[in-house]
Amino acid sequence: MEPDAIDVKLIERCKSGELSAFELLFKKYQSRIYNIVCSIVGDETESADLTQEIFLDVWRSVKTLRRNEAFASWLYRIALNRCRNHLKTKERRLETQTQSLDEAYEFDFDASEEKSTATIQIPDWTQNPERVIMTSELETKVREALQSLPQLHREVIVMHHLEGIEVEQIAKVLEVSQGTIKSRLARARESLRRKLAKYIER
Amino acid sequence: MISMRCHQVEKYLPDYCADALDIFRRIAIKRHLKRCFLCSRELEILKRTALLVEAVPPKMPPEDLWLKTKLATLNEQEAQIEVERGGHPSWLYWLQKLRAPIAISVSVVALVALLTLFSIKPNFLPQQKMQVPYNYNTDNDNIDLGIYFQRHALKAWNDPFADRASLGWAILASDQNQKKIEAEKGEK
Repeated sequence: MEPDAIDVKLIERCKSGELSAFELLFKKYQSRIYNIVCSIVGDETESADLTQEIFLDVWRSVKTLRRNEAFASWLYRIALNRCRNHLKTKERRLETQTQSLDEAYEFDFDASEEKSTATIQIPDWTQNPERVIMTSELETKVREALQSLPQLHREVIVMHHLEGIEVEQIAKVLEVSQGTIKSRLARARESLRRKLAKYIER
Repeated sequence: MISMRCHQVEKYLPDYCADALDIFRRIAIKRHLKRCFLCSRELEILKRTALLVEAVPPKMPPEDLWLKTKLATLNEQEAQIEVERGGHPSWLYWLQKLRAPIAISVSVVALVALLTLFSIKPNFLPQQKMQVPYNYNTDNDNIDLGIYFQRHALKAWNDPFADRASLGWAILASDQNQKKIEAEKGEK
């Protein structure tokens, strides 16, 4: 997951103000950052704006990066901090707008699940348990379940399971121990297991 | 070796699945799972949960994302060059950015300065306790204008809005003038 020798050279060129090098880095990491942001924030338009801001932050402060090898961790940290700030601002705005919105803001997963279970195609685990056929409805359900997780759990689940980032690197990004990350993963999986029980237990 | 029951294993299964347990518990759970179908199934369900999340397809970022970012980057670069050239001095940028706190600070300083100015009683000016010739007869045709002026000026001294600096200077000047006239009269 750490950048290779080409990345290190690209970062060096970025530091000297070469926009073409920045473009290559952008194109390499944009999809991953966009998906992390999208899974944490949950809104595609906001995610696109946030991704742009994250890369602008990178462009502005790439000169302050001491170890080019640590670029990926640094980038993820910027992305997570941006997401956290965005969610905090959004929450504050919602609180000030109206108090009655509070109830609506907390996603009632069980209630929405009851309404639409009939339309969802449940994956057939008996045929090929390693490969899940993901329908768009099921994808929506999984994404909703992810959104209902506490933010700290959501971050680790998204980084580990959706983006395939190793526990060790997540620990570096979040500046906590590997044990903490594993524990958060366990709690998040437990919570998801309860929320997605209908699609798993067959 | 620790021996575990189903309810204990169930409690630790998510941590076992995430490899977050110490070696003793891990071995105990592993041994339990070999002979317990229900707990093995529970573990399988937990693994499926992870698989289900991993199967979520990635979303494609908007196609114009690079163009937008490039534009923003170029704008920033231009602004930076402008600053380096001296087009927009950096102090102007900071002045614009900090105009609200600057305005508040200036107002506070001005207020404090005004309050200080009103409360100062300079030593070189005449004291308020100065004797005023109140028994002066205004009906008399021989009005001594110097004393008359001093009397009114000293009365005005107590007014909080009075310009004390000017008044003080005028009283002193009038007093000196008075002394001069008296000296001339004496000589005569």
